[in-house]
Amino acid sequence: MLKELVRQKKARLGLAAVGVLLLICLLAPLLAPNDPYKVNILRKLAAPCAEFPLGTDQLGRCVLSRLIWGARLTLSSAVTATALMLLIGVPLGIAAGFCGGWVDSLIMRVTDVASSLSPSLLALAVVGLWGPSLANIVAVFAALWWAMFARVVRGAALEVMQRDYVTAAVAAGCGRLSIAVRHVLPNVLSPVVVLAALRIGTVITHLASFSFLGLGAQPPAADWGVMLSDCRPYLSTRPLMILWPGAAIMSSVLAFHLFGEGLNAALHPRREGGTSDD
Amino acid sequence: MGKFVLRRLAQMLPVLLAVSLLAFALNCMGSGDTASLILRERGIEPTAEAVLQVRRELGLDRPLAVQYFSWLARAARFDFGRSFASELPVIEVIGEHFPATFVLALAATVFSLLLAVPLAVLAARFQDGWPDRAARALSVAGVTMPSFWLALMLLSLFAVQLGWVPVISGTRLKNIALPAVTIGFSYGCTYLGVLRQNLIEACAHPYMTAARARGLSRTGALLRHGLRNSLLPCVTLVGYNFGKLLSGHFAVETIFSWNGIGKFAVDSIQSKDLPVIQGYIVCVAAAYIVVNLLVDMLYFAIDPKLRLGAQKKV
Repeated sequence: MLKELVRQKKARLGLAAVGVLLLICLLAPLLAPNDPYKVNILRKLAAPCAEFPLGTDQLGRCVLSRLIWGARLTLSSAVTATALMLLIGVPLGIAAGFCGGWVDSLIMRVTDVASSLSPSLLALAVVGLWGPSLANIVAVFAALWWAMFARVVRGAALEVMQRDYVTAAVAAGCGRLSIAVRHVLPNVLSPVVVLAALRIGTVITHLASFSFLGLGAQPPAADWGVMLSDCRPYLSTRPLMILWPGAAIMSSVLAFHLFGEGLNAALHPRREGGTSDD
Repeated sequence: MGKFVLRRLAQMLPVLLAVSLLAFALNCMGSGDTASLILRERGIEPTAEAVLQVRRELGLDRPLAVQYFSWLARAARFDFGRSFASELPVIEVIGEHFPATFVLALAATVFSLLLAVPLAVLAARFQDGWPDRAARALSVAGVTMPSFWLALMLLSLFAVQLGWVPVISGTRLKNIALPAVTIGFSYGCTYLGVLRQNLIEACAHPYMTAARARGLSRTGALLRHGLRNSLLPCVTLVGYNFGKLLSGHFAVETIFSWNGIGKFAVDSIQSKDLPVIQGYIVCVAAAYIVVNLLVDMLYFAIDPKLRLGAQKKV
């Protein structure tokens, strides 16, 4: 599968881009030329120079360093949100497909509710109750978007249950739980991995937009959404300032998009470039 | 049809229940908090005595279940009390902001279709040629570009650099172009991807070969037969998205200072105007459900296959 992944052009690009992004996150303390939080009011809104390669923001903080540390914050929260979706969605999906009957209908009804609520509504309620924070917004997305994973996993599980190896495992006297974990789970993972890669990209955009509105990450956090909202007053004097955080968001979303599509193509070699996204 | 509508309504009940619980939960953020919040909004020092009095006035000292059902009974009549900030009935202030969002949703949908339909036809006509490649690139761009960033870029370009439009658009109709384009772009790119795929699949159908055999040009066959069949699945998608748009786009409305309910909701959450938030959550969910139902009925009406199937069953 890895070989297939490397053979696809799109996938190679996506893999490389995600790799670079991960490296930036891991090496943030080494790569960032300055402290992203160090305020230097005397050098505010400085033009790019040797000390500040992309200039400084309205408080004299290094824009490049904030971008690099922002990658860390963005990626870690997007991955956390997606991991939580997986943790909720995959077991529920397997349980629904595996048990059938009333368990299935109950889980699917809850899934319906979760997928018809919009994240903005839940985000408003959560912010109203517990105040704005990045962790709350991450929880909002995890609390709703597990539904699509549950759906996909349930579908895949139903298909896997028809296979001979499951029948063989039942005949061999394996317990229900052990069949679910050892035979069904590994075989439903491939659509889940694709969906998760694509989802991370979507989550990144949404997290940034909530942070931009002041409902997610709070200043002075080095977050791309916060950076964009910081530079709104300087739209006329420093138009370039809005370029960098946006480009950072776009390129990381694109990286995960290409990665997911490439993964999909590698897993289903016959269907060229199509998505299994719902 | 009647049966179908009833079944859909029954499916929506749990959603409405969840939404109502969500909105009601905002009441319970420590009832003392709500009371002192109201007092502070009115500029009164929240002493213990004053807080107690407000709590009794609002019925916050009753058991939760009682509070919920009395709240629900009022919410069902769209009575959400008065806004903390303006002291006007919530439904009135929401109604005041809704037309702006409605017009914007309409304009954005029109733009997204104007973007998607011609480009998808071109892409399918010249498959794998440059229009097709451009269409594919655009549909990826729509997925990856955050609309609030596009909004900032457009604002910077057209309002600040070129000075063609004012930076603060208010809610004047002539300033609708930028917000509509921003929202329409991302949806248009999605439609473009779906429609292109549908059109290309339609080309493989025998009815297209038949149309060509009757002497229609490739473009003619695509427009007269392919497009009609491919647009049908898009009707549902566009309709559902229109329902979503009616809740107002938080970021885009805020950036363009478009006074719709999206911006209003963001402003209200920042000032902790909880009755407004509750009203917003319930109204938006109700609108979404109604629009979805209308879209399903519309689909029923325009798809002859479904209509025939329904008649056979009866």
